[in-house]
Amino acid sequence: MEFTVRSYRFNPEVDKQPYYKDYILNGFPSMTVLNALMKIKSETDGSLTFRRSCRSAICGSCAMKINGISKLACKTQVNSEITKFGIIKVEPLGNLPVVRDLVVEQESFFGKINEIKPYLLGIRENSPDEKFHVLKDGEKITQPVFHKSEFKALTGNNDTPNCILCECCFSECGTEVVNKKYLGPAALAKLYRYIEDPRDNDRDGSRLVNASKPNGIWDCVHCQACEQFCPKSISPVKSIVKLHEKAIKNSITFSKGAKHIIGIANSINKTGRLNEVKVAIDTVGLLGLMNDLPVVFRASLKGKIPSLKLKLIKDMDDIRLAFKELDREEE
Amino acid sequence: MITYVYYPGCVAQESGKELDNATKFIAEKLGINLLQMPEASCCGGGIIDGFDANLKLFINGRTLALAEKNGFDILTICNTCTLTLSEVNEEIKNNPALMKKTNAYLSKIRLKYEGNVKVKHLLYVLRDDIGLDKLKDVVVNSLNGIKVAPFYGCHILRPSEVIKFDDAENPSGFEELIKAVGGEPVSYVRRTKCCGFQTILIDEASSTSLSGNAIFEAQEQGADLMVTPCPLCHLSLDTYQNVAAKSIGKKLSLPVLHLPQLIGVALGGSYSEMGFSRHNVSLKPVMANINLK
Amino acid sequence: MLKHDVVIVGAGLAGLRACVELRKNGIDAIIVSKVYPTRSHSGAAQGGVNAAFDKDDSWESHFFDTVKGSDYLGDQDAIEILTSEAPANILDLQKMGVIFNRNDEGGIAQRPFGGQSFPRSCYYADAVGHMMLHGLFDNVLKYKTKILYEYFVTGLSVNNGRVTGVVTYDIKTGKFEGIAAKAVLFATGGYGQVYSSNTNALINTGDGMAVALRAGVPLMDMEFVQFHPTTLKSTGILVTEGARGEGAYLLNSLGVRFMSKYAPKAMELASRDIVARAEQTEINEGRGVDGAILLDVRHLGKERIMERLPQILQLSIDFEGVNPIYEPIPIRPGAHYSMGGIKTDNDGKTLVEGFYSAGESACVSVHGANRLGGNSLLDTVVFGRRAGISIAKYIKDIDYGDFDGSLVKRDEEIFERLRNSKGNERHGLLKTELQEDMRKNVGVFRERSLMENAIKKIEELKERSKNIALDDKSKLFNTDIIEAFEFNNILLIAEVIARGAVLRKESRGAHYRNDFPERDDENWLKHTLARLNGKGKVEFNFTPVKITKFKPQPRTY
Repeated sequence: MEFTVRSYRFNPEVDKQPYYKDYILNGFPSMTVLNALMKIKSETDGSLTFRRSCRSAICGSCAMKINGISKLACKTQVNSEITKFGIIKVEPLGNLPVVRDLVVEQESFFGKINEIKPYLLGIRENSPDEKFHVLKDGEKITQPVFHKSEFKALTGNNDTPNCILCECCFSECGTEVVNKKYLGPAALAKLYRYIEDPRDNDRDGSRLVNASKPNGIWDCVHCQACEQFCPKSISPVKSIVKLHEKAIKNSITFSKGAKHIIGIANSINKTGRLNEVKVAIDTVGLLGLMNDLPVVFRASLKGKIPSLKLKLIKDMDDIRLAFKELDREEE
Repeated sequence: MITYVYYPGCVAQESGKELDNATKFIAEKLGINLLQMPEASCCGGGIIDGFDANLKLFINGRTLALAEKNGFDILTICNTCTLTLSEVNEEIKNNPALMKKTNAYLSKIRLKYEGNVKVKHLLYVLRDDIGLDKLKDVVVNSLNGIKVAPFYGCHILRPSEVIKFDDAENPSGFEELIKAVGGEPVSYVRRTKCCGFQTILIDEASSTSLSGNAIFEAQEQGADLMVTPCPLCHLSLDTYQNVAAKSIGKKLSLPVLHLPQLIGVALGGSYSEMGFSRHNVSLKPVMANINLK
Repeated sequence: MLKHDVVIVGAGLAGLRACVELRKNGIDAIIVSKVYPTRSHSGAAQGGVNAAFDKDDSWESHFFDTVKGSDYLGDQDAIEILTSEAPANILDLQKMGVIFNRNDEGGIAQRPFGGQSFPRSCYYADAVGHMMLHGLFDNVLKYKTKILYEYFVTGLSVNNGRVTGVVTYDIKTGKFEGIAAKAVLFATGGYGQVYSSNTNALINTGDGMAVALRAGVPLMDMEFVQFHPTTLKSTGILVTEGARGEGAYLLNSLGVRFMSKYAPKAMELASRDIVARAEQTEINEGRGVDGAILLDVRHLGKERIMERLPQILQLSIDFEGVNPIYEPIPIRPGAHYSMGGIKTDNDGKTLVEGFYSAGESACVSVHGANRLGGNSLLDTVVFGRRAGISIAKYIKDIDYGDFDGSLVKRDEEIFERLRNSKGNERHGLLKTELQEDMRKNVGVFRERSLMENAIKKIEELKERSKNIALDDKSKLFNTDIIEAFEFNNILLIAEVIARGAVLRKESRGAHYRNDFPERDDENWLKHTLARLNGKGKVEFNFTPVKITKFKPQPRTY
């Protein structure tokens, strides 16, 4: 099978601007995009530059945009891309500056991973003495007890500890496009991984407090791209939502995001509906809304301002009961 | 006649009433019977599990149970409602523990859910249940090859584990509809990207930059109109378009239609029937192109 | 020129473990790695890490299993350390945040592994290497460690018999720089890329070993190359031994569990050398399926496969187009692990002062002629930690030695020559030729005539490599030049393997010779040491095996 690889090329040392270069290749049945790129590099054009290492989807080196979507080149089959798009168009990841060709600068991504303190904080109280102990003849070691249930959130399929830091989610992240300070899906998923760890002892809740500040968990736009395009089938957005829930349950509600959700919950509890005006006031305050005066003004001219007081849905008691049931679930 | 339980969602009943009206307009023309469900509650706006995952389960489990009791699938006109209801539906169907937990609550309000309801968005009801041929048959005002930028938004495509209407990497349903009513779909990268709505109250500048980028790209690609299947996207793209322009420092002026408005125009709907007066960006400059009365 | 007390080259498990040990004691240790640490190949380890925890198990039994697995070539004092420190090391990792699957009593869950007389492999689904790598790296971040990533080490400065630093090439800028150090640790991994059809990452080109060898440091037991019995037929990607640990069968074309013929007791869980040979024999004798053997996990059931072997499930689907829940996986033996490496003592010290090595790049030797599954991860943390402790002691009362600045110039010139070469050879193609030749001639089954062909090929490639030219003349992120240099490294390593294999006239562990099919303790119960002489020729001598508790016996499973 003959096909075309169209690669983004840019070497700032010699090129004024990026361009695309086409390579015609002959494929074999289970050829991956990485196989194709390696073939080009070793046989025809050694200057084509990309990262790669394990070729089995565990090291995260070869993430790049393939036909517009961030993927690991090593686990993307040429055949399926050709069937769908007729070409293999490769480009560097998004949301990161390009170094050269398909290689991006990763400092900001890894910096954000570092920022969430990706390690256990403190030591759990009553944790057994775990001095390093070399066994003598006939001796056995006693190990601390952690039950399966304590690691439940971290030891199933597709869980956050499986993240390989390949940056596909970061590249596809909606918020990251417009807010370079946003921690991003991988870092927040990692944060969740440590918050859920039974050995973590973040006594003052500093992880959740810090994550609730601007550029943290409340800046997620819920676009689901991180889940959709994760090559390891992890869902950072679901981790982020669980962090929202944890923050609210721990009364860490100073953020606009927390106020927003609580506003929605209150509105549903009162009317069964979402009261757009009230939720806005709950989130940003009346003063905050003043910033949007031009929007509000224009909308009101168009008759777009929703009612302040909503009609209750029918059988509103059902919903009130749902809220009561939540308290029971808590106990 | 084909019947659905109609779930317009909160925004289409308040700030986005024009969407509700346009949906009813085309439903009548296409022989879709929309069964009202006055008991239905808000889905939680796509983020209520951040308050309490069980609340999302309960209120949406209730909506699904109500639809099941009525005996029809649900028709939605909001991406986020579609995803939320679909997620809960999948969770309940695939996880016996959650099915049990939900039904424990439902039993107290004399309801029960057995997992028989499908949640369908209008876009794919039109494509799959009504069919493009039937749609073409009833077009009275073909759109004359006007350039239409489809803005899918997120929750009608992703995550594809749950939402399976289209190919999340390269969707085509929207384009097919546009063609069926005589428009020419505009190809642009951001058609499947996020509008930013969920953080519009949290970080307005960032949020509206997202919608701004999409509008700008569509404009650059020569779009006369943008269309969206989601009222939340519509708020970002239309209501906030002036803010978006400021956020990205570009001039923006692109009318944004709700999906049923576009179809409605092709089916002979007038300016007032489509509620275009409620739009922020005026439709007037393109009215002649689409034979809008 | 940069100056740091300790330079750790390589950021896989051994390097990171040593780094944590040094950094938590406030020592000025930095990491230099040719890839970002989490890209290291340790992350691809799947099945498990061994330690005796169970009340019915004992570290002494682990000790014996490992000695037997090594075909008695492992040094028993070192293996005693490996196994007696194993449980404490695992608990240490756990304390640092590494997650292991749990058993019903709340302890670490363990699964059976090849050559182990007790289920003692601790695991995290089938991604334990990934879990350990990221867990340790997180700790390296915790101790705020300076990391020079995408820096390639090309030379080792040795002055008056003491290592005084390294020569580095910054891939991002194309600049050479020396880093002076009191101590240097090479944790640079193995050389799987010497062979075609290997389980290794593309970065595993034996760089550390080659650089050490050129600097006059001897390598030990390089002829012992492990072929893993279960690698995906079309790509060589690893399928964990954990699959067989969970109960998978190996079937030939007749649907027979052929291991009953080769290891009637241990069956599929015999040691890797034995299983790999059994498979190759079945294939050679016409009982393969399109040149492969079938690994069948279907009887484990969907749920267990999804819980315990999720990565294998996905890899089989993505890379082999086979869903193991419904079909057996076609597999074959593939080059996997280098038992040999830079000779060290039990504290990571090499034969040159100030120079240390740990992990796959080192040869302590705990694996002897054949490594047991689940012992390599253990090796990295036990000896990574010990190297860290021993380096901390060493640098305390010592000053920096003189850095040999001429080396920077030497390596700059090598690269400059490559860049300007007008030759007509492509290193990518030469590499493929080498790999294919090594697989055919110095593979699972070896004999003199074949291996001599390989040596001839290597000599030919050495000549042709002088005519390598590059397409990429740029300084900025030039991976063409890195690959060319890597090719020279695997070429050198291939020569040491091939010459060592010709020399060793017996069959032991992974080194099997059709022309000498028996183990010969009388003449060959000794380690091979390889050095480069002044003329660049490989020379060998020998050193005795340390035998403390277990006298060599015939080895059956």
